[in-house]
Amino acid sequence: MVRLRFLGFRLLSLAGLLLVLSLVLFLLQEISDADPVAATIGGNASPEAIAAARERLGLDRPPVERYLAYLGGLVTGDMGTSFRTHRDVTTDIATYLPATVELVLFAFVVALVLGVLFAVSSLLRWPLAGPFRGLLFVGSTAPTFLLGLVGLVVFYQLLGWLPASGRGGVTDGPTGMTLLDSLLAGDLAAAGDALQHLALPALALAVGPALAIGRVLRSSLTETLGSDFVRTATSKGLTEPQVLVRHVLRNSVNAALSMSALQLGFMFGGVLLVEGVFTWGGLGSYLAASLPVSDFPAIAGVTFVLGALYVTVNTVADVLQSVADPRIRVS
Amino acid sequence: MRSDPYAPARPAIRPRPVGVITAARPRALPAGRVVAAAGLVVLVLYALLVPVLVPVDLDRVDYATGPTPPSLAHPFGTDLAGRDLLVRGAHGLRVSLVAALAGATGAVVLGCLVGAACALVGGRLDRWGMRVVDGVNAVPHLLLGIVVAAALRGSLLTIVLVVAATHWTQTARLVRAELLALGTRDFYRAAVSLGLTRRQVLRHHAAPRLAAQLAVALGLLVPHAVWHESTLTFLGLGLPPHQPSLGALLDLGQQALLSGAWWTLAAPAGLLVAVTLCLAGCLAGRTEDHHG
Repeated sequence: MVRLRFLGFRLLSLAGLLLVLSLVLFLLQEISDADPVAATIGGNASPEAIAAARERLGLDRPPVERYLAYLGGLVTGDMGTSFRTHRDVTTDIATYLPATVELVLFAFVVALVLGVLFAVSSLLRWPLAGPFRGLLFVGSTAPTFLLGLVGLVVFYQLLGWLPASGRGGVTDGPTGMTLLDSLLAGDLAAAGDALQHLALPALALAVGPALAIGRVLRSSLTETLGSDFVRTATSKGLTEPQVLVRHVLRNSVNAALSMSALQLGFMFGGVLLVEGVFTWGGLGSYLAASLPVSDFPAIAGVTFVLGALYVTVNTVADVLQSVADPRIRVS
Repeated sequence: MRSDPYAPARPAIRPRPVGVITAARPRALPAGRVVAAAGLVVLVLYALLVPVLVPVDLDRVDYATGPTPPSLAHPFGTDLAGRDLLVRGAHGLRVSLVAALAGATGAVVLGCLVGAACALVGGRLDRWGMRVVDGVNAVPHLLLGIVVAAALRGSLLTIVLVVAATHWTQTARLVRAELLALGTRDFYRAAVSLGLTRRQVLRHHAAPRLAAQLAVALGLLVPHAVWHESTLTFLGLGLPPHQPSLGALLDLGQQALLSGAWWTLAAPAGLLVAVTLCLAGCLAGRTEDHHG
């Protein structure tokens, strides 16, 4: 019962946040000086054509009515027509989303691995732990796109190990994610190619989140290892793996889990920059092309989709966390 | 993200120094912090002095020189248009620091106002105010910044507004928590029972404590704001091209990279990383981990 109520409350606040997001996007569109009429039919149109276009775009109606129409469109998956590509924004986003999701998910895995390494290396005092932590720390102070650029200089220009741009692999597969499609097609060479293209952008995207996750995990691991119940568990004769898995891990993973979710959300923002550097051909590139021409339906659409992903990821993490730690539901 | 918003800036009770010698000896500063502070001073001096000492027209181009690698005449090299990167870097650092300082200050002031209003008025305003804070926090601020900048078009003011509008929530929470916690403390009750007015309590007891915390919050925000400026400008949403901020220089550097002129990227990138590291290093030890 408590669990259901918690779930209901989280879902309700998720819906509320999406509503607020849509309102913010609508308001920004209102105060923006970009003229949608000029963008659709050009600046030199006759007054009649302008009036017709205003009516077609619904600009002659009051703002509240327009917001409700916009909201209704969002609910039914209609985000308007892009001024630039003259296609439905929903169609455009569906085309570019898989590339972005693939990059973010791959980078997230990299971030998790690096983060765990960071946490464990500071506890176990491995020989190369110091330089590794220093490198991660310096890397995390630089903006994401700068990391990408430095990665390009080192691994593409100087060493020539990795490609500079594009995606590689099987490009016309069913999921739109090159690595997954290559693996599904059983084409290992293509999968390797896709992996090579993924490596640099994913690393650039992963360094900052990895440090954040690693730090949280390290501090909670240190705390848990020093707690009384771990001493009790050890002294009542449990083996080390038993203590680690049953007592230490479950009690340490919680903070790291919520931090991971937060970082996964941030990555949906950071990916825009990384895509710009590596001409990745996902939502970031789509947004970058839409920004200079003030293609607001596209900008708002991409922002809404990425924002919705961010909010959803955090909600799912909250629910997962309550499963891992029942105390959260009660408070 | 501070682990405990109620924790005082310094431990309330310091261990008493033993003997005269230990008491007289000043507390040793960590070496890293000294280096960071010195580095920051050097960077600020560089940003302030170089444009004055080397009066070069920023818009003058010299394609005959073209990109030259770092040399004695041009320690940071020259960019594709033959402009000296030492001078342009100084200008860029200056613009970026001004934008970041203004943005961070705006965020702290706004957060302070909202937080204080929520804590002091309480009731419905507090509830709704905190909902708004949650709402703003729930949207990734880089994304929000991009849309705001896209709607308002790039200028120094836009960057300042974007940074302020997306970063005030942490300060608001901090101030609110601090003020609410104040009410439970003994010295507050003592002050009230002595007959001090609310204004006097706020001025003599709340303000000094808050000032220390706000200084740290501001210090943490500035490097983050530098980061935002360069990011937005890099995306083409920030400052116009004739104002060479670090982000604009990085953007040009990326274009020059294909022709092998790595130094056009190295100069602004090095400056950016250096200024962020120095700012963060100065505050190290004063704060817990900061994410965002």
